[in-house]
Amino acid sequence: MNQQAQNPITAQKYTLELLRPYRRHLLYGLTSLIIVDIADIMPPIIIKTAIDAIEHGNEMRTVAYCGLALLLTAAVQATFRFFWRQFFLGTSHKSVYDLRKALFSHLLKLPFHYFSRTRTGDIMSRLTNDIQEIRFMLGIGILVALDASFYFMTIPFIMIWLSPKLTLITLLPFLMMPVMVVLVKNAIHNRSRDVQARLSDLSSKAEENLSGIRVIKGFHTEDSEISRFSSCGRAFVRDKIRLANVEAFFHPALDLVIAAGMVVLLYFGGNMVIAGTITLGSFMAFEAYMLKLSWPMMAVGWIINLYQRSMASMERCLQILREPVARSPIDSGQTTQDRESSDKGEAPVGYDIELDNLCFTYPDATQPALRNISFKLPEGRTLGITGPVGCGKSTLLRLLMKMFAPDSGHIMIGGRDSRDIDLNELRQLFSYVPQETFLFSETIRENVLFACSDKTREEAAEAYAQRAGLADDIKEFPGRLETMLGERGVNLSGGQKQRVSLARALAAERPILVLDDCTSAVDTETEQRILSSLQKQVRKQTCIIVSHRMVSLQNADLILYLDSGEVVEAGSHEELLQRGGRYARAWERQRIKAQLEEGS
Amino acid sequence: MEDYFNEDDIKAPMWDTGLVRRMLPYLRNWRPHFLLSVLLVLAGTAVQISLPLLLGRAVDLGIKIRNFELLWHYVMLYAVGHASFFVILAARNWLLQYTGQQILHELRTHLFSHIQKLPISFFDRTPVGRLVTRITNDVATMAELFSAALINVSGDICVLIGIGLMMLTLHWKLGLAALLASPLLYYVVWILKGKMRDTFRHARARLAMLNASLAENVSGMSVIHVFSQEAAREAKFDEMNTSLREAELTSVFYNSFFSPVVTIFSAITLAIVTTYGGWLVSTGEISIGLLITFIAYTQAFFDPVRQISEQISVFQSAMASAERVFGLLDEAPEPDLESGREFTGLNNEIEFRNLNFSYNSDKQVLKDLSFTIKKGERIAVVGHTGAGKTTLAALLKRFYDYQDGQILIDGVDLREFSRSSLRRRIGLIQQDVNIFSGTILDNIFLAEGSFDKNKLDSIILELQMEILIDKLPQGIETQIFERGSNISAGQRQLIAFSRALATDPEILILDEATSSVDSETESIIQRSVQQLTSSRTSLIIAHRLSTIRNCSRILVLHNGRLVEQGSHEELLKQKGHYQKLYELQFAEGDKE
Repeated sequence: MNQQAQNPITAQKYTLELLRPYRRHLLYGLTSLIIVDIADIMPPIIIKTAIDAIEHGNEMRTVAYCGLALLLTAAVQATFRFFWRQFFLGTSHKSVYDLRKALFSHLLKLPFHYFSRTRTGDIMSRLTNDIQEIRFMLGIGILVALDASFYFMTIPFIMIWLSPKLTLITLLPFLMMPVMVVLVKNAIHNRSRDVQARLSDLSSKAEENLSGIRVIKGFHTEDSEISRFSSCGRAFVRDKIRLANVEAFFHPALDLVIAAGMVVLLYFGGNMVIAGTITLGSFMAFEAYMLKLSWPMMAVGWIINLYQRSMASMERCLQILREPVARSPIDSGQTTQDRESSDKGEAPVGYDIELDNLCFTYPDATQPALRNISFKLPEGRTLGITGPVGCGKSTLLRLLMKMFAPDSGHIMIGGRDSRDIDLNELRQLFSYVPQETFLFSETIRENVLFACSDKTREEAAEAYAQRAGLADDIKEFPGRLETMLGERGVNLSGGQKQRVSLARALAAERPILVLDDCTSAVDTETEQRILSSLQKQVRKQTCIIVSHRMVSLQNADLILYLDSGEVVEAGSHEELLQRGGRYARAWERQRIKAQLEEGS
Repeated sequence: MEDYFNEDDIKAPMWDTGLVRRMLPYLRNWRPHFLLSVLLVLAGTAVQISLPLLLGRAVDLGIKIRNFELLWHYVMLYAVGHASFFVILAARNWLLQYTGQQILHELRTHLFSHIQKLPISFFDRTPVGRLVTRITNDVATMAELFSAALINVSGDICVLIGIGLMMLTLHWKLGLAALLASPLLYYVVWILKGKMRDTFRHARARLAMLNASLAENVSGMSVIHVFSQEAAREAKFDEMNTSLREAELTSVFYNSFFSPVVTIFSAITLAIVTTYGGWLVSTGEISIGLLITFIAYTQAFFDPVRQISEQISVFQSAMASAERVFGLLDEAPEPDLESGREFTGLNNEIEFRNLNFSYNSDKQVLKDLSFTIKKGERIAVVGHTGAGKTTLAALLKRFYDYQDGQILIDGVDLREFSRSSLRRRIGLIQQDVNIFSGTILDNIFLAEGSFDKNKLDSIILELQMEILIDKLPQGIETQIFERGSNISAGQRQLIAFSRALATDPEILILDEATSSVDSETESIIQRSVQQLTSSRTSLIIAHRLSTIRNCSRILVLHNGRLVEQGSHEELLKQKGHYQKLYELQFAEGDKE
């Protein structure tokens, strides 16, 4: 977290940073805005001139000019109104594009534990709702703020020019407006909060009811539930009406303030026209300007509100950007890339894996997850890991793949300490089939070739799919390999997903293949077929298989039985059976279970 | 994962008469309110139209003629007009909110009640989250159609027509000149709005896709990391992000035309009115006051255009939501729960006779199952996962009806009894306890008004609950937090047991949890199960050796068939299926 101190960029500053590349566009936008607003404040004066001319009589030429002038200002206004939206709103979309890009590329660099402690929903809400809020501010917010300021800086002066006395009298009620907006907005805010709370009561009541529907039906208490839900609903309606009590009056009340100004204008202005202090045209122009001034008055509150919300949103986005990225001892993107490519050309230097007294405790845990793990796995051999739930199997894999760093002890790969291997380089060594299958909503081919270095080879995907035991399944899909997965395509069964995940790992063609309990959703027979095909084809590949199904491990060169983070037994299948320890007992239990499942 | 991609909303029509007709019954109770709203809309329109007229009169009769008294008179009228407009508008807004919320409430309660009546099989296939969305968001969006959109749009249309008619009445030539441009305006706006909507939807679809992909990338981050595919993913994301930006910019482009178009048309109209009207004034055909009225009308004429075009998307989402809500209301409910004979008690025995059952046609869950339970007997059912144990309980409570064979209660087919009486008198204790918000007491007596002090005392006595209750801050009246986070596992179990006892069950079904529990809870369960089942006919879906040992008979199910039955010792001697199960599930050894 000390990164935070070094990186004290504020939400406001970052907002400016976001806008900086588009400052020229904003300048054009501002220019358009000024032209539009100038064109917009002209018509009342033109109409005033026209009316005054009509009043004097026989000045039809002036009236006609006025008509022309109206059209002209409208044409100018229309043209630049088009540009101001283009520039301001366009910029907001471009800036948000940049922000999204920055956030996503930063997320990609964050370490594993960030994602294990942060909910996807939380990240998503920042990437969707908060970004939306920021875009609002950058687009329509800036536009309205500039627009309103221009009106404030011009219209009162025009009115004073027309008649200082009348300006003073008519604008007095207007001053109530911002005060009213702030006060009422507060009341509205509080009451909306209550409404939100009732709404969330209502939806949790519904959720609770629906999750417990079997109990409710079981006890036949549907009617009580309906009446309880209904009373939640009534509470919601009651608060909603409380909100309506304020909200319903708010906008009409603003209109009323404007109307008060108008009534005052009609009386005093009318008297002044009669007295000859001002012309009828000025009187009309006054009316028009008051109307024009009313909306920036209302906008002030809205802008302040939007600004505060968007800065809070920006802050939430910045929290992601401030997260320190995954550390990498050799911190140079370019050279890493170079080494990778040169590595591929050479024959493998050796991928023997050796663990020496490895210990690890999760950041918030009290109990260590792994204790003094040591073993040697020569290149090309297969390691099996088993043990009860929570014994540290997956943790061991995470450490191997450097998702976490060990507290003490060493992981040596090819004779090098994994601490000294660049993160990127290290990850190029592993093909991983995770326990919880995760596939992308893309085609099967794209999923299989996810990490394949040569994506152009058409037949490659099919070959890997076949090796993963997917051939038969694929024949049944409408688009074969081009079938989309997920909601907009087919939904695969658990076993099919795991096989796609396996094909993906095979296609990555890395020296070490890691299978994390990956065939749990596949029946034993299919699993055996897949494993034996792996055994044949990847003789040179080092394999680490984690499974609680022991038949999967029987052919491994070395099997570790873990419990509570410690290696309890180690050896080959035969050795462990002979020993008659926990492995042997577990093996026996699984044998019985298999018999039960087969049916007696 | 949340649903970021909702195609219905993007493709829904603006108006669907069939759907709207289905909504009408919900308005029936609120006819006077709607009538009043319509009256208020009309009154508001009338006032709004009369204000410019008053202004014009004030100029003509007050200012021009220098009549202070008349001017004062019109100022007062003008003030009254504005004040009444305020009252009407506020009343209309309030009434709309009020009526809208009441309708929403009725609709929501109706939907909720309907959901309560749906069969269990419906809940088997529908995720809870989706139903919650229907009850909260969709219903609200749908109700918005009545409360805001419909009335506001009709109000705007009234203003448009009113102003048009007024101008024509006041001076038909000038009125006609003022209205000259509006048909063209509407045509252009219509075309433009279509284009705007299309590009907007396109952008929204892109955004939804981008968000879906983002969510996927975030949840699959470890896969991306492990395969070091950051760069490829970033490129792919950038592609989507760029296409979103382009779609948004296109949408902005078409959007940018809208306000210039309205500006141009209002300026043309204003120019026509000013010059032609000015000429008319100079020829003495109309007064200056009337011209001012006309100018005010022209200015007011263009607001509704904007308003109406903004309501279109509200209509659209309302239609999409209505479609989903009615889809849910069309789900067939369970048959009448009360119909059939009342189940009052068991005299003799329950017999399962050649029972066959499947949830859906492809997999038979129970096969030719026959056995009898005598009154007062305590029976354990054991079997491997998926053997059909839990199905037995669901069938006894008539959550599902069997297709073939019979369950007979004292010789009468179970299907002849009413579902409600069976559900009340057959207590089912599930050990993943569903805790509802409210007090402990509420959770024991689930049905409203079913609280009975004597019964509570006897339950407390029977389950020896005093000690546990005393531990809680407010005793039995303690509020339970969401999902029961402030009570212990043992207390939860006790709630489940006492909940079942509160309905005086004639037959008890216990579905024991498979998971292991702490020793305190274990002892509570053992004691309570023993106590509860000693005097009642009970069927225990057992996972605990202690429970099984206390049962007079054990039924061993395998793949939906009854393969063995007898006492624990007898079955062990047979060295058959039970013995294997026993070794696997109950014998000491490694827990998996």
